[in-house]
Amino acid sequence: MTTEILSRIKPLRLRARLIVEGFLTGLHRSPYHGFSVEFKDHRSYNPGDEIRWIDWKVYARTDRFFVRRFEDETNLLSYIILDGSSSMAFSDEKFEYARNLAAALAYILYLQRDAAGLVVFNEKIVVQIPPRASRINLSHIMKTLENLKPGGKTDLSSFKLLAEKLKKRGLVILISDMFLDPEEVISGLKFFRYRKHEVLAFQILSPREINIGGHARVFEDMETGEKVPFDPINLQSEYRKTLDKHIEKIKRELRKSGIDYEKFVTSDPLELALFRFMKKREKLP
Amino acid sequence: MKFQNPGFLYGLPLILLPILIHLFASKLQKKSPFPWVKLLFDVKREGHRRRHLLEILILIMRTIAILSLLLLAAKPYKGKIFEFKNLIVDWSPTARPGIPVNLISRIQRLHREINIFYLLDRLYRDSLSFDLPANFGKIGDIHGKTLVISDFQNSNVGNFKDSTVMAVKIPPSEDYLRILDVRVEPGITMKGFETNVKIFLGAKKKTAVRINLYRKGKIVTGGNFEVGPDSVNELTLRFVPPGGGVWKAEVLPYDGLPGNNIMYFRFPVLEALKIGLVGENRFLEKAFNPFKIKNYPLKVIAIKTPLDLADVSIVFLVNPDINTDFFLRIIRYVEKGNNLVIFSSSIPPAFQNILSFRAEPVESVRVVFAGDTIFFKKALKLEGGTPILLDLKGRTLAIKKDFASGKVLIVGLSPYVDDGYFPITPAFVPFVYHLLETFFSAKQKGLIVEAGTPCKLNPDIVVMEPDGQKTRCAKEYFKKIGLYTADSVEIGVNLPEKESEMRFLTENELKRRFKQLTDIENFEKSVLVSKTFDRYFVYFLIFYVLAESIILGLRFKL
Repeated sequence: MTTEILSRIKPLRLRARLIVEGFLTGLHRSPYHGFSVEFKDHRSYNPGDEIRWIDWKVYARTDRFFVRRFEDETNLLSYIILDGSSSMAFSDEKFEYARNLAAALAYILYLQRDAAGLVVFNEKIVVQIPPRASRINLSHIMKTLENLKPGGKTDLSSFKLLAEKLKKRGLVILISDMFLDPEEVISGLKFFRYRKHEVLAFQILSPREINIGGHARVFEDMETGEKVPFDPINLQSEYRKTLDKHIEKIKRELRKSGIDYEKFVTSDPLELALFRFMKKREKLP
Repeated sequence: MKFQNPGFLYGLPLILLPILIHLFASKLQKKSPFPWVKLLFDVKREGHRRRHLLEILILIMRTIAILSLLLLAAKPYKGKIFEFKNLIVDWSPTARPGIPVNLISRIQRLHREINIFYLLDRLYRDSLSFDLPANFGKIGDIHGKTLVISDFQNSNVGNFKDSTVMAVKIPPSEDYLRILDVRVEPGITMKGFETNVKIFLGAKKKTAVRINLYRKGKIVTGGNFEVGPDSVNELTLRFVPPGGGVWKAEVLPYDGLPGNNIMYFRFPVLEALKIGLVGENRFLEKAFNPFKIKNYPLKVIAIKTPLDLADVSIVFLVNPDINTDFFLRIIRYVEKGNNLVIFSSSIPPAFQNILSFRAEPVESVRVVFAGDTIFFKKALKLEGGTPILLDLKGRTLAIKKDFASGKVLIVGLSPYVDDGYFPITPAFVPFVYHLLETFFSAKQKGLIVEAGTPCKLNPDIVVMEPDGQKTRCAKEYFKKIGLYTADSVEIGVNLPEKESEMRFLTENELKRRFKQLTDIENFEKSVLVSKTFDRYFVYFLIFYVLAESIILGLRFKL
């Protein structure tokens, strides 16, 4: 389903569901992992239940199949950190793409009974929804995302405080354009690594940021208001080189710190981002 | 540095235009939001130096391009302009067509301070001479610096007081020696209905030309002239019936004859012949037409006496210095019914007696066309025959008499030139032919001319010696003046041969020959402006257009 079609679907929750279900349909095996470890009770075996959950001791005693049921509890805390700064508002589809991705991730985490939380930041933490695996929490996240409007500057220094708050280890997913100095990005995300969180960084870029195009004009920074006269016709190739250098540096430094990095252009399908996420999730308990 | 069109310099502020555009371009540009302009800063920093240099270069080029355009229009020049107060322009026939129409206005534009401005023709309407000092009285005193533009044909511009003159020489007009329209006003003179037509001619150096006067497409008359700078030549026309109007005069370089030679071949010959022909052979009825010369296969043979006259129908004696033997043979020749023409002012008395003529030299005879080489000042008073040629005063110049069965014609005008003798020149041939045709109806069988005696004093006199040895005048001189020397028995007037060279030049040849630089540019370069810079501006503008195109091309490629 294309981003354009998705954007026409107003309720974000429905949008997220469509994304996720479409994505799951395409997979060959179940993406669900884990389940709780706290035993709750037994129930009789029904065809289709996984054999590994059959309690063989009960079978030995009763000669009947029973499967074990566990306490409904999450096994992973996930923090979706969305960049809500003004730069994300560049071209409408960029923030929309990020928002959809955040929603889809929240939804898929919910389906996995993982606890998903949402943090929206600019120069400070704007929204912080603690991770929970409840439906209410998901609704809260969706509603928050739906009403979110980008603004303010990007500043990752608030991540330090945020990292300190996240006591329990979990998965941190950063969705941002990462238009910052690479050092700032690394130092911001390193706080989570110090806390032993797994970190997944999604950089979202608009095609118009990659190929600026058009005649010479003055470009005004969406966050700082700074103005730069620039001739895209003459300087396109140099710009691409500089942008690639910037991306490459972020990627290299993040990987050095054990942070997975993925770059998405808004023209890329969202499923690709989800797939990356699932691959990461597989490695986690 | 001065400018020919300084008004364009008011446009100099325009060169600020590219600078202002460069400075304010960024402010005037449309603003676009961008997520992180630091990236753009980084890009600009990398290529900054190179691009900045390129931009400055383009800016400089555009500024210079505008400056070049302005200067191209303003026409700067280096050198001195003669700051004159008075301008005198030669408007004479040779110069006038050579001066471009816009020259005067251009000069006036360049020299607004001119206070006296004269065209020469206003001063010298009736004169061809360009003699400023002599004519100052007509235009009042000229003070201060004066610029004179003239081709300086027959000119005198120097030495007039209180004025510095700068003379600008322009070449004579190319058109000057081409086809002209001549206004012919018929007049009545004592000679009848005739008029003199003034033909203004000019050439850089002395040259021979032929003028043909046409009317209704036909040559009416013509002549060969020696033309020098601003010379005036006259053609006398007789009108039968009287008439005038616009005649066409064709001026052609006369290649065939050397300059001096044509002096022997001009209209006084004709005039001499037409003066007083009487009787049935009036000139007007049977005019001598010099333009038909080329059709005369006449051969003049200079013979050395004695000679065999058996096959000769006419003997033409020029300056006879006859010995007894030859005299007797001539008498016998005439008695047989042959014709004899004696052309002399000195006929031996014995000969006169036999022929029943009386010929006395008349020193006071006024010859109409002095200087002509055929008819000279001296003449004979002729009696004893039928007068057939009279001078203006009615005196007999030629008589004709039958002698036995032959005919004798004595022409009394002597070919003597001072102490010299009659020269055989090209002009002699048509004259002789005319006499023969008029008086004897001669066929062209043979014309015997007895050789003249060698010249004595005057080197202008050419004497033909049949043996080629007796010419006392320098042969080189003869050659120089285009007369013929005799190196063999048969000397030729050789007109047919010469005429073969006497062709009319084609128009292109004419143009080439008289090609002159008459354009204003040359004039300005040589006189008003010693050095101009136009071509440098043009070079730069071409370079600029090319460079700008290349830069634009590179931009699109990027």
